Amino acid sequence: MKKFFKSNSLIWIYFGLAILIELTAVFVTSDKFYIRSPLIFLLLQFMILLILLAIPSNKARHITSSLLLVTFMVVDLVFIVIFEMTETIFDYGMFNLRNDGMAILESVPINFTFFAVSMLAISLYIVFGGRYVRHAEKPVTIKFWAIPSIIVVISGLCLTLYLNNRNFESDVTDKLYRTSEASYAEYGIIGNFLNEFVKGTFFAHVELGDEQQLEDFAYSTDNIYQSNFDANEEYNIVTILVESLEWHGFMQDFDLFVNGYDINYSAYGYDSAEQILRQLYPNLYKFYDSSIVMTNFYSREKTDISENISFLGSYPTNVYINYDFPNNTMATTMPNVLKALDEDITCNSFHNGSYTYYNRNKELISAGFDSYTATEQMKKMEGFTDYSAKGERNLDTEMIKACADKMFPTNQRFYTYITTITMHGQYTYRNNLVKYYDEMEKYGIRSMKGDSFEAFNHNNFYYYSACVMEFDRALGLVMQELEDRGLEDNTIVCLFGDHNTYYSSLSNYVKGIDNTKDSNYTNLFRVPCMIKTPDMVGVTNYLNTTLIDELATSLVAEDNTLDSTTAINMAREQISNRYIINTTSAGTQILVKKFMCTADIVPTLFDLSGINVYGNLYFGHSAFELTTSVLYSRAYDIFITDNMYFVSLNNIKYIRKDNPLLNNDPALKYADILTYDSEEHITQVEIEAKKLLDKLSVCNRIFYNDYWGRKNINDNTKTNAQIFVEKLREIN
Amino acid sequence: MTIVKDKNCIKYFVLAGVILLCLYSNSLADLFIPIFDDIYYGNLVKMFVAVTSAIIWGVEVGLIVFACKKLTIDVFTSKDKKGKEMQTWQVIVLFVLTILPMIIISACINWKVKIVYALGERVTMIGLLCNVCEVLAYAVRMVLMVMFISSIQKGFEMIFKTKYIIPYGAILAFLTFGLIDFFVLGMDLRVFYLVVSLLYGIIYIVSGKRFLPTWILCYLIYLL
Repeated sequence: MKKFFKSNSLIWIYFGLAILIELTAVFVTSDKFYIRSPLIFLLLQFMILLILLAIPSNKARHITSSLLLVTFMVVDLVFIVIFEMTETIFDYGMFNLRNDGMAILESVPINFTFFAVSMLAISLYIVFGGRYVRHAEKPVTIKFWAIPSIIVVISGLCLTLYLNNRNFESDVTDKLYRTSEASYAEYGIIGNFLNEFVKGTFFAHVELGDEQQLEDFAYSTDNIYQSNFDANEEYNIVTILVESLEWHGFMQDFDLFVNGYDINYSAYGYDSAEQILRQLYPNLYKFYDSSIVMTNFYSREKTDISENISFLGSYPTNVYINYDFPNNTMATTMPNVLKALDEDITCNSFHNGSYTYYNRNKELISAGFDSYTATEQMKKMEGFTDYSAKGERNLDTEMIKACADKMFPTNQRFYTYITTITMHGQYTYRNNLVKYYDEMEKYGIRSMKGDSFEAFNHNNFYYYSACVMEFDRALGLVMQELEDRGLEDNTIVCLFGDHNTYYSSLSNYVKGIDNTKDSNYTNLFRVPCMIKTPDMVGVTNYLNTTLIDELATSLVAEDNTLDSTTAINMAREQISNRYIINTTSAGTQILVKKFMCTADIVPTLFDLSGINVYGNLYFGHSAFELTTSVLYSRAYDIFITDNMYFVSLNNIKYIRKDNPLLNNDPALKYADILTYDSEEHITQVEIEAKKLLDKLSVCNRIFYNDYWGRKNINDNTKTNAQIFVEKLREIN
Repeated sequence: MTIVKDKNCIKYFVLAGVILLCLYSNSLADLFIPIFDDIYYGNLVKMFVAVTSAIIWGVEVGLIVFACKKLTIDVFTSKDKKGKEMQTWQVIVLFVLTILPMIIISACINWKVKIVYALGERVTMIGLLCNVCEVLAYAVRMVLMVMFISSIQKGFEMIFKTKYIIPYGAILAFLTFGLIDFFVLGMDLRVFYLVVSLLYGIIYIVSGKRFLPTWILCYLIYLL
């Protein structure tokens, strides 16, 4: 036995180094130097150990084990890079993103710690192992036991993978109470990869289940989202997904954006920094001054998911709709709902990026858009330049100018969806934005020289600001086009940020937030969402009367000791804290301080358009409903509210401390916090999250089985989509 | 130290001079730039220049090796060293000499990995391809650099007999292509390349004047 261990010491060293490399990889991605469920990784390594022990020659073992260590290092490195770029752990659906991910290599953030440790370990093993092999005695092998042992270990590995995945998404409510990590500390990188590969290949399917139950849930009359406003079939809708838009791009606030703008306004004869910023971003401020502003809006997704949620209102788990279900019938999208109620409407999507990126060219048509126009088509239009060949982002202004006729037709009603790109990272000098650098220079806003970390961060913000200016001009063009075409008074315009500026951790730098230990962590994901509606009067009246009455009624229902006058006063106080109505030089501004997220966009737009929909098919709620949503992030498998960031209720990464009023919490500026108790908040969140997960479960069944495209069980002459149209018309 | 008049040393010095010229002969590749400019909007010029440079250097290496055989000049590992293992202290010192500059240079560029820095922080796939070709072409250039160090070392050792090992190759490498690259090429991290040219020669000495390990380690230092 002693001889067995001594003569095979090379293999034990290999095993130790494999564990070291894996744990280092886990450490750099999750700050933990352990793996919670290491069985998959260990069984894989045992299998390799047995194979190595069966090899009779030390030299062959050394070569094989060295190659394996290099392979593991490369695999870990690839996933670390993916993690550093996307902040998400690998899931099977990412295989579909591989081509798009390589289209422009934004950066290759190789972690130096992992690189140094693994390179050192492997090079020492190769060099000194090679020398050892030349002098070592012949090893004791496990010839006769090799194959049976390997079979046993492989069986164990298969069983483990099966047990991990056999209940694939059968009960998504489990997400709310799981104890697992949503990080590589759960299975390790190699273990996670194997697990995801097996899950995606063999288990990724959700059964349709009881169709009648699904239909009853979908069309439940207990949860119809009734519009609070008059139906207006003349309203056009323009939704603009503004890539990486953040408040700090055009606002100065030392509490919220500690490393944001710091303009020496008095040197330029101004009374405040805002006056200068209004010069630099006139259109964003004009829009801000005259729209419904969701001050407490959050997004924590990748662009393609944000995009889908903002016109679909839901999203299944473990898949990417664009790749996994591009041809599904999607009855409940905004284009399809609008078309169901108005056959004459035209729905078109525009993006000044690549036509096939995120497989948009297929998926958007399935989602109900009549056309999708991207760079390849825009290049043929006058005034549009494709800057991507020069390594720069295309200009949003040029997209608007080139496509205005198609975006804003005057001869029919339209729903136009615009996805911008100029503000996409990385943020470096761009020739096509030079004019904005010159404008900023007039107010002393300039880049910093040098290679220091401070200069790097400062310049990221500086170059980002110029990108925001470009979008500001594009927004100005949109509003001008609508005005020139006489469409301003019957068009709803919604713009929102798809996610925070995570490129080069710009958002972290500007907001001074590093990790979940920071006191206002969820602020990291607070991004703009503003909706300009022609019916601001209607909205204002609703908020001042109907909503107060509704809230008073529900307060009395909760506590029947309340008299109506007290209830009305309480309701008025809550409503006036949640919705602040201002009169500005540009018009009426309504600040909505209720927590909102991307999933709330679709219900809000339906609400403002006077359209009633079946609430169980949409994750979010209208801005004008009393119910507050919980954000579940498909990309990050995490739940968020403005006070919490959690993997599950048993694994809360961040929760706001009690008594924000006493702590001068900056959240008070934009959130509707009158009183706050963390335990009460958790209770409320649990209730809403459960409802969300019920909807999510149904959403999975719908998508995984292309439910809307199937024949209806009660009327097989029609598809479920056709039944949906009939049901929709019944309530409108 | 004793000075020996050995006319054989002239062969090595002439060889070193030729190699030095060859190191900068890749400028000939610039003559082809107008041709490459028409291909794919000129985005592949860097790649073609790198490939042409690699071919030019490769041909030069071949010619030099052929000439060395004819003239019985030994710039590669001496026959007495072939097949012999390096001693443990040599391996350890070489490790330190290789790892340390990698750590120092990473610290200078905000703890990024140098190969990533060299390949480009924000590039298109075409840009990445061009940068990869440049990096790979440098591997061929490195062969010439090590041959230069080797021939200088051997040449001077023929003249100056001493019990001490003086890194003539390292010193001349520093004074020649080290300084030339510093002033002419205008690369980022050029101070690094200047100091490292000295290190290449030292690695050659520590490795026991073995060509292949020196080439591998020097290229790794350049790469990482």
